[in-house]
Amino acid sequence: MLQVSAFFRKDALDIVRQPRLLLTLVLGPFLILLAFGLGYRDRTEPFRAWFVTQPGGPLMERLERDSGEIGRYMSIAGTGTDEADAVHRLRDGDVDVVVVLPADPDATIRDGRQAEVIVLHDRLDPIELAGVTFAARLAVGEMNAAVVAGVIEQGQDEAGVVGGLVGQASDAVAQAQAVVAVGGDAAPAMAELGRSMDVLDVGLGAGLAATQLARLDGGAGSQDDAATTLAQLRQRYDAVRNSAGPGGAPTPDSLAELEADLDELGSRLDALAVMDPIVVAHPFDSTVRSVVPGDRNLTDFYAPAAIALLVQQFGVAFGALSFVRERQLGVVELFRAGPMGAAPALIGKYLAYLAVGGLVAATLTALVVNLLSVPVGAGLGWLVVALGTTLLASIGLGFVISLASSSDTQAVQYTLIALLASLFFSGFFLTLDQLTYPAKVLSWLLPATFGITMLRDSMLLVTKPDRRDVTALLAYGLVAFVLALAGARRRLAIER
Amino acid sequence: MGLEQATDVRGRGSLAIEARDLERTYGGKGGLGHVTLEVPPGVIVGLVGPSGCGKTTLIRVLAGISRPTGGEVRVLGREPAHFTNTDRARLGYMPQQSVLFPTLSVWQNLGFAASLNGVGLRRRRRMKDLLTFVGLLGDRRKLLARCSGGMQRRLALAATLVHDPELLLLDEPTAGIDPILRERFWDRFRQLRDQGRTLLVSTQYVGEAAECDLVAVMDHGRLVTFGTPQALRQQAFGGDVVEVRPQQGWLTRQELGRIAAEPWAISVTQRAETVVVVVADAEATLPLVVAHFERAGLAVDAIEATVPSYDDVFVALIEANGGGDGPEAPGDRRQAA
Repeated sequence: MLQVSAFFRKDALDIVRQPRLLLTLVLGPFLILLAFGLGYRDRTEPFRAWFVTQPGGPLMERLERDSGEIGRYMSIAGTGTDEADAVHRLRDGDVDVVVVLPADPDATIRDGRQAEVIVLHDRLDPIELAGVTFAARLAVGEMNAAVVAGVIEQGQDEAGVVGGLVGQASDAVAQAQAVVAVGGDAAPAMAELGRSMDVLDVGLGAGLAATQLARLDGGAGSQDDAATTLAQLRQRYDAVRNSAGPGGAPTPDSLAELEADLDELGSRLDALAVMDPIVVAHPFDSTVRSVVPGDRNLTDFYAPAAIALLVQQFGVAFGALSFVRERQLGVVELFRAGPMGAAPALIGKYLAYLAVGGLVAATLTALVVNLLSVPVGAGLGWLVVALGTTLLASIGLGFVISLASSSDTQAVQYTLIALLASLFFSGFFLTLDQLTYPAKVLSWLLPATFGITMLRDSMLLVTKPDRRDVTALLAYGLVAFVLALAGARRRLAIER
Repeated sequence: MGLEQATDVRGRGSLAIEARDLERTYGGKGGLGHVTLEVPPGVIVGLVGPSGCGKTTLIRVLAGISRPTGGEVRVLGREPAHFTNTDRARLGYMPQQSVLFPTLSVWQNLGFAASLNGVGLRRRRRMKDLLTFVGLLGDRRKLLARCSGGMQRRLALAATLVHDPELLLLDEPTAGIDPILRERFWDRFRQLRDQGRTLLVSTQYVGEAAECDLVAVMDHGRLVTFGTPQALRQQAFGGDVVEVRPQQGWLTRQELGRIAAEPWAISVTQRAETVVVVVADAEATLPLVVAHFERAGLAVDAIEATVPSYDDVFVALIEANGGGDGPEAPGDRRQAA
């Protein structure tokens, strides 16, 4: 116990005696998060796109006419017909992407093939590249939608013409009704109605064909109803004409039914005409809602990860330098000659680094929570569990590194490698789901992987940390302790 | 205490240190070779020898830090390789370099050493006494990093003594210490010896051999000789030394031959304008030497029995052993690094 407390005091004082180091440990990550929060633009500027097309190409005309913006993430910076000139602009940084439109899209589409839009870029960053790809797909989607909207508009124009034909058919029915009412010959009126029905067949078919493009539910809607009504009308007309026989007059009831059908068809065509083609071309929009209470910004998202990473690096760095420094000081000679074992030294060091590291983590967390308004959703208890287990495992990893290193330079290098690995494999930037199995194993070797998950759970998701994460870190800490103990015993053993 | 007395104690009780044909080599080279040593309890043993002669290696083996590669060794009755913590608590080891913690204060460093050696809470009095002894009480709050090399050596000595060990293995404790403090150190060592403690003290100051009860001279990893300081002098020159300065300066070969023919003369040499006559007992022989010169009609400026310095004794012993600047023992090199 005396030796444990001696090492505890010695190693704790060793850190506490370096106030600038402590200040850096706390303020460094906090100021980085603060600068990030203040400096990060939550809105992405659209990519400046230069469009290359044939002179007078139909797509460019439409794009220029409709909007200066194609989708939310791409804007038209200019247009031209020279692809080489456009690439030159791209390389000079005048534009972000070059969009080469197909020369004759109509012909390609008529051939039953998709017309290809080529997007050129000079981005190396995979995340930026993903952004370019996403923006390009969105822009092409917008162009497709614009084409669809145009076709729908054309269909609506034609539906207006069909509306006139319905009016003519209604007039013929009214004329037949008037003739039947006075017992006259309805044949001419019925013949006129028959001609109107034929024209309606053709006109309505063409108009509806366009609007069918926007059908999404497999049958319901004005267009489909209009087609059904027309079919019903044709059936009824044929029945009236057949039942009357050659030269016979239709009954008033059958004419009234024809009149009702035509009214219904007219009203359906009216409904079709007033639909917004843009809405039909973009039938869905999306609204994303989180089931997690409260708003979370990017600083909130990265704050728990930054704390977990700091805690890991504190434990790893101090643990890694601990035994190495003692060896370099030569004090191990005293330990070997003195009446002491490896266990008290190791336990004392663990306690010292847990105490000081806990203090550093608590101070940083308090700053982040109070000054950056990052929430502590699941409560302080779980926060302590997450930080404590992460620190415990990290100190163990540091001790293992320390006992495997022959100099402080080597220990520092291992520590930096642990940091670099953490940036890629701990879930700090990239989600763990994107890692495949060999890489996942590497991520499990990093205490920060579990720490980040637990802190995000307990701070942002307002849920208790996963029990498996807590267990994994405790097991990690235990294994590291056993390895460190074996290493320390070997170091303190009599020299062979 | 003479060598005879020292070795005689075997019959009376257990030895503090007992080594027979002790070897410690590194990859079959260097280190220690065939060291045989018997140190009774309650003496100060000085360990002298040129740099890299194996002093530190011997101390590290005795402290149970380094395992011997051959021979036998027992310290306080047990093989160092099998020391228990209880055995280790009976030892006080002071390494050649100051090896305490620069970020701790003088007091905290001493407290750490006390805890390490199992000295409990009632230690403040002892710590204060020790710091007073090494002259650091006024600097107890000073960080070790701000202490001079001498202050660090003093603190290291205090840390070695803090648990009142039975056997002290001190590797050059007086290196870098001013002469006044060095004298206080030796006073303390003698005090500890008088209290029954055994001290093995390596030193680079050969003159300090005079402070020891027994002196072990090492060279090239071997024990050249081991005995009382007086016996070493005798061994170095073959007897006592009488120096004669004739008025005429140099004597002829015949004149020197006549002196050498006297029964009391063990050897005669001319060194510059001084004739060095080695005799068995300088005090008894001095009148006979004076009479010889009078009979021979050789006027002299001075005739005196001289006590050779330990530097001369050390050089003579090492030269007689055919040694000098030999290769360093690996243990010493490592420790120095």
